[in-house]
Amino acid sequence: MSHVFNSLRFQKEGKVKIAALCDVDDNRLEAAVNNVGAGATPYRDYRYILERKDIDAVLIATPDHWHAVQTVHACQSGKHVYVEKPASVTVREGQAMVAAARANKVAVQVGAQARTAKGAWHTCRAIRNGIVGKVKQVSCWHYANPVDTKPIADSAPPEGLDWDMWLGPLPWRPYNSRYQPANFRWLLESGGGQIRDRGAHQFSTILWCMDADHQTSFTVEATGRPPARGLWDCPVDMNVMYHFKNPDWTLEWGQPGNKVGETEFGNVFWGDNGRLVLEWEGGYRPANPEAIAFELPPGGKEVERTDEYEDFNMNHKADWYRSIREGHLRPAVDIEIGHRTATLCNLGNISYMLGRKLVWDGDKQEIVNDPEANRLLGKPQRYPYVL
Amino acid sequence: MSSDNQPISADLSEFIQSLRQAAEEPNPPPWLDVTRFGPEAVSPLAAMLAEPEIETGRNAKRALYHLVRHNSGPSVEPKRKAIQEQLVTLLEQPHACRDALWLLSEIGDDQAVDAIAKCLRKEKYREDARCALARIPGKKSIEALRAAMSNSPEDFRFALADVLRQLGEKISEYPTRKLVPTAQTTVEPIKS
Repeated sequence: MSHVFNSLRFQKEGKVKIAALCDVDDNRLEAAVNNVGAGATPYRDYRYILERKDIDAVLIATPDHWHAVQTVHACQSGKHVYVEKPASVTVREGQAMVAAARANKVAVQVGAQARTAKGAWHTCRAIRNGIVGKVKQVSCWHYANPVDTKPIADSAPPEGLDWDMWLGPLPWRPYNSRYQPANFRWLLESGGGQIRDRGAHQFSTILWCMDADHQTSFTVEATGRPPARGLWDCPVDMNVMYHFKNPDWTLEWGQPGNKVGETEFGNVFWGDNGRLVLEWEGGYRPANPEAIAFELPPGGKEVERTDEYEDFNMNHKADWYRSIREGHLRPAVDIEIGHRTATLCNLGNISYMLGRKLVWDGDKQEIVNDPEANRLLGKPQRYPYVL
Repeated sequence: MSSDNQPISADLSEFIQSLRQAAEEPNPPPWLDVTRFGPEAVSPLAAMLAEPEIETGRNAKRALYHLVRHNSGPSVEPKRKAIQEQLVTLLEQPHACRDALWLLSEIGDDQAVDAIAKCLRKEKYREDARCALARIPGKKSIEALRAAMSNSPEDFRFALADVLRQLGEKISEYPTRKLVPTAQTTVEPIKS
């Protein structure tokens, strides 16, 4: 609902008009309609919205397995898109999203809102300007994936839920109340676990701080402990190591990892001259006081960001609107950046599933010398919910 | 016993039995041990997919996926082929067909195409079969999808046409329906 409330605030300020709402669950749709009030037409099928010529932009906050298909369709319908993270659940989906955004000349912002948040910004400018010297390693700590300790049998879907449309591109399976609405997060085929959920935030911020958006090639090796039982299949504990070259540095996803800060998740930048901690991803939490107090050295480079709202959720959307208004169509977490971030997350999961190290060629967008692993870079969608 | 009633080794039998026992955190699940076995485990695991206890079926399914994925790398080609042969036999078993199609989509080659193509004629599995053929590289799977265009029900031809176009084939009939809205809500707007 935060997207609804953000949009209501923009509407109150006269910056947008909420013309439509969409949900495949009539109960949730009714709640959204009651929050928004008159003026917004409710729909179950997003494609009705895409047909409307009076709609300029759409905000996609559906489960992860829908992100790519809806983004591509929206781009192909000429709409600007704000899509929640992670950008995609497969690498090939991410590629299709980038292609669709470029071909249709629309702005696509991925909801990794730390990149426009003050906490991450303080950290980014401090790291880039040498607060801890050269950074050779960045580590993440994050609490474990939950376990389905109360598995139950498949059943009929609840009243009001269009299960076929909720599943969308995923292979057909019967409804199970331990899957939907939010527990999709703990299945590899849809949510991909904490690494794809929070990793999408943390990795996005880390790449920004390290000025490493262009470092698209790396090796990845994951280990993890699967849950003992239940519907959810994401690893409970996990460790993933990414090695980048030129410049050389290592990114570690630790679940639980080595908890350095006080909060449930965060990152540590390990440099020649010390370390800098960023708790959460720099959104809900402020930056480390050292980073806030950091002054650029002579010759230092400032880091730009949109700064229109204190609330970082509002600010990230404002950044997207700004990219549309100004015509450059490249918001702070443009879909290319979102895709590269999601690629890190998705390859971490593939390495875990296959139990082997992968060498990722970012230029060719393929795993080196591993045809079977390359098949897992994409997954055909269930018709008609196709890219 | 496996699903084709062949006798299995004592070691494999013991492993299969372990999948019927409840595992509790933080112990690792028993299916991880499947990597000790090869293609001989496919059939007995498939037989368990139909068992009434939910967690038993899930353990068996996870064991199958783990077995396939850990025998899919460049260095285990003979095992991959042998596992593929076993998976193809599962396509005739209703309780295992869907999983077999998706597993074959991950490791299958031309040898699996004909058997998968037969599933294009089964309404319950045709969509999964379509996806499996889309994922298996090579001309044979494309030919199988093309051949199915002429003998499939009208509504399924749109899906076949769509995947053939995604694979680079030129198909002028059956334009995509991906942007055609169909589902209606019962929720009414608030009138001003």
